[in-house]
Amino acid sequence: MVIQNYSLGPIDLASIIPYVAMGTILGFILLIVPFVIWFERVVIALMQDRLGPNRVGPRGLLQTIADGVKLFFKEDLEPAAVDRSLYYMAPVLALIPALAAGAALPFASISLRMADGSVKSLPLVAGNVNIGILFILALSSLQVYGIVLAGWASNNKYSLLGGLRSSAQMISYELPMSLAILTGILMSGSLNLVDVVNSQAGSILDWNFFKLNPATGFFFPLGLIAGMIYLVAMVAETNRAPFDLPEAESELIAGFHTEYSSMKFAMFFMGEYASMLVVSGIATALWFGGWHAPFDFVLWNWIPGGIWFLAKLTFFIGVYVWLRATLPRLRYDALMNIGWKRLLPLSIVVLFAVATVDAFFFTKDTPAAISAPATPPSGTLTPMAAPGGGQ
Amino acid sequence: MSELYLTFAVFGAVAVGFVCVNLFIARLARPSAPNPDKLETYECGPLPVGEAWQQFNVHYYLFALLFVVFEVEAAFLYPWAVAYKQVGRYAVVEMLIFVAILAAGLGYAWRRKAIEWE
Amino acid sequence: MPDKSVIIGDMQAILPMIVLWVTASVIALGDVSLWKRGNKAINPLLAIVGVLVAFKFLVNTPRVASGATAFAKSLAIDPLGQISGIALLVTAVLSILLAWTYLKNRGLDHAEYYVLLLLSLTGAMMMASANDLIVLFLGLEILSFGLYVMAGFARTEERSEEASVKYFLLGAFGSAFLLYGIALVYGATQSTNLEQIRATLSSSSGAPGPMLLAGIGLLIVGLGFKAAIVPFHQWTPDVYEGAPTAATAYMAGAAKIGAFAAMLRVFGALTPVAASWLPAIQILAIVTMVFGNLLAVTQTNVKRLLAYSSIAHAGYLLVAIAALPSETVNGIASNAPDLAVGGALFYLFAYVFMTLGAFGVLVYLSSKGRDVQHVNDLRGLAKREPAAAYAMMFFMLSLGGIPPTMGFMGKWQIFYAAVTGQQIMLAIVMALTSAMAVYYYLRVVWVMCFEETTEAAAPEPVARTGAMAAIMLAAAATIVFGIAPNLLNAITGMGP
Repeated sequence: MVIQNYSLGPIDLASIIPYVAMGTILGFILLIVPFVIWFERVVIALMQDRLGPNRVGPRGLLQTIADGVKLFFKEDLEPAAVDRSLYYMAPVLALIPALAAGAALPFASISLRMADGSVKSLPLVAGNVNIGILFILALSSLQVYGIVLAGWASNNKYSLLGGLRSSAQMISYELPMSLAILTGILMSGSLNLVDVVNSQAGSILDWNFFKLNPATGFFFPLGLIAGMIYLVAMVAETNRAPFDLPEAESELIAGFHTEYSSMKFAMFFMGEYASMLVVSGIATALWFGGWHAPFDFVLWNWIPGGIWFLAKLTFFIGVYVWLRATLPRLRYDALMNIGWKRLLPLSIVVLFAVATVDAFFFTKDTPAAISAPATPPSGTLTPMAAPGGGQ
Repeated sequence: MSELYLTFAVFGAVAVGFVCVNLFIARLARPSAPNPDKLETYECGPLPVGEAWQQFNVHYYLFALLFVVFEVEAAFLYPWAVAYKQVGRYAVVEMLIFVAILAAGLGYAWRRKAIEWE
Repeated sequence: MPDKSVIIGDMQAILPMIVLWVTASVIALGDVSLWKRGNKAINPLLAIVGVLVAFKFLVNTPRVASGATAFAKSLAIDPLGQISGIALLVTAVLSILLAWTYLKNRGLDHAEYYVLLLLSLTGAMMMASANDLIVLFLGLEILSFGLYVMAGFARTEERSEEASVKYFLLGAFGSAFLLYGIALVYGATQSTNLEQIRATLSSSSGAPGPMLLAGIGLLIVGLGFKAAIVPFHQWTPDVYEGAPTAATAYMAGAAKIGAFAAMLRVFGALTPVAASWLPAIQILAIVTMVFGNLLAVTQTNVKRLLAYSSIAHAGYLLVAIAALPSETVNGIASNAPDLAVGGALFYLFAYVFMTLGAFGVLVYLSSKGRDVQHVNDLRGLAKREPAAAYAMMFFMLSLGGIPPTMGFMGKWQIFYAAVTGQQIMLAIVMALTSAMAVYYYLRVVWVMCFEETTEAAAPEPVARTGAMAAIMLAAAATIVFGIAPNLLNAITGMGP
């Protein structure tokens, strides 16, 4: 889609795009979360051969709204034994990084026809930083704080255990996640998410997940393996089934959010789904080609990139829900085992396989040598006192 | 470049604002009827004995230590991943040696059962 | 791709450190996979082989013209670094022999001890060759971490855990001071490279500003902590007493050598502003010598006694450092700095042999339930174990500075350097405190030779060869180099 006029009077379209994107992302995350929750409940119910929510609103669509209203008006219990400041800070810390991480996530690109006839495509992203993926990773690491502080501040043994377990799990899976992301970065050559997405332009064979196009780089099974590692790690990062032992209902009461009620609990709940959306967004941008269509049909090019992004995001949310409905929960030591002994070595191997394949098979000519550092002069500076003899 | 700071600041402010406004309005809207029983720590019924702020298993600390080591390694790998195309094969071999040293450490921890059990 | 010859030259410069690191890795990884704690003698054997290979590489490093550097001027390949390296490797050989015996007798025989020893040795060698304050700090930290863990190696003993925690906490503080000092010196001189700092300081005129003075003060505190100088010595007696004796022996040797080699470099770089820090060093030297010796007089625990004597020896070495800036005396160029560095290095060698030998005798007598610490455990040793007793006598005489031992030769050299460098007051204090020290050294000899054993003879420990070998080596060195100090110069290549 090409927009003909790129300036609306005194406002330059290019400069308001960040704010448009910001509004879209924030609005999207905050408004879609109720639908994701509803979607999850309906799909799990269907998979378990029972009726899902069907009372409130058509097909139970307003169920989540009703739950939210209930939480809003519920009495807020403040246990006497908690550590006040940390107790109130924890849910805030669980939600804000998830929302703020959306700032660097590009979800579409608009093509503008400039005055001189050329077509420039502007990515729709709130902040087009050169280190986009690092920014998002840093913010998702901050979510661990919310959980561990919630567990600690509650002064409840079950909360503490749940919080510690949860945070240990999150940091254990952050490593394979970073390394898998690194593999994607290696294949695309830049930390900027917009460049990463643009390097996957073309067709489905160019997506980092498949990478079967010999012209741009043939990494076939490696991209797939790294993508699967990222998928597993992202499910574990967000404390979702089958890695949800720390907050399971049948263990540890409710884990780290036992002592939280009403809106503070809602913050945790929303934070979990918001971070689900953000990591799915990263998966889409990094592995599935972002807003690019699978094939270069003229008809499909009419569909804006944002819709493609949304479709892929929905696919990942569907995978999340599917995993929750079908797989049993992992026992904690098995969980940590997988993270440290299986995923981490595998991700290191895949990272270096990609780097080696790229450097030794695809780079045919020796790149320009970096100028050698100046060799240090010898004997020109005043020497230190040379040790003399004994007597 | 400086517009980026502005956008991120606005984004952060909106996110923080949303959360805080939400909590504040909820505080105005909801009832509050404190009762000594409600103020107690929840432990499925029986009253809790002692505080929760006691010693806990040292394995959490071991995992955190190993995490820090490998996270710093990942932090070094990020600039390498971006720059290695210009440096070429030398960069791959050098980074391979670096990661191999750290992977040997992981192997050592594995054999010494530091990453077992929980 | 960076210039290949530069890389190879750099690697050649640190080859001894690489050898040590490779040996440590082989021991660590082999212990978990290949020999799986089976034949335990392989660990110390490998460690000694590694140290000897590193020694060979170190001695074979071409002695280029002074001023040669590696790694973009951050490491200095000069005789000071190389000779300190030799001293460190000697310390390592003696420590490994002692540890072989001690760990086996006390049931602490884990491979990690040797791994830590070799890795912290790498750090000490880095410290001794550092041409850059950041590399110095890095070496200090690598050295210290190994020592913290080695101090706590006897995990079931409260005393050892306490020593380790104390060392760690106070060591972290000392490192923080050092780092702050480095930051301030960098702020004042725009560089962390020692040669650059020296050039900047000698070209700038006028009094040093407050930032530089504060930085130098904090550097003195940070390095003084590691070298155990009064009043930063508080950790030394407790840590030396609590740590396993073999670890104490290594700690006493390696930390001192590393710290003093670093101090020689740093204060050598700061000589242009010597007027600002020389009085502080003089006062510290006097205080250290006096208090170190004074507090040792009343000690009945041999390890604490040796700890305080270490503090006193640090004081003597500070006298050598105080003689560093005297490049011109009364307008005539003097060789006081060369004498000071040479004397300090000789004294470090002497210190290693005598202190490690003394600890070695304690190791020799220790067995599973019985860590020989108290002076009463040494009663009548001359009759029970004549070899160990006479060796101990040599070590005590050497520590006291009585000819013809190496300790006397070392003290003489420092004395000479001090007098040549116009530090008369320090020389006098050194002589007086040495005389005072002879009391408690000779008291140990008295107890050994002229007192009767009060308790039944303890069962002989299982393995003693390593300790006996170390003691004999150290005793031989003490006597031989005391009579013919030029032999040491010939071996290490010191000298004109």
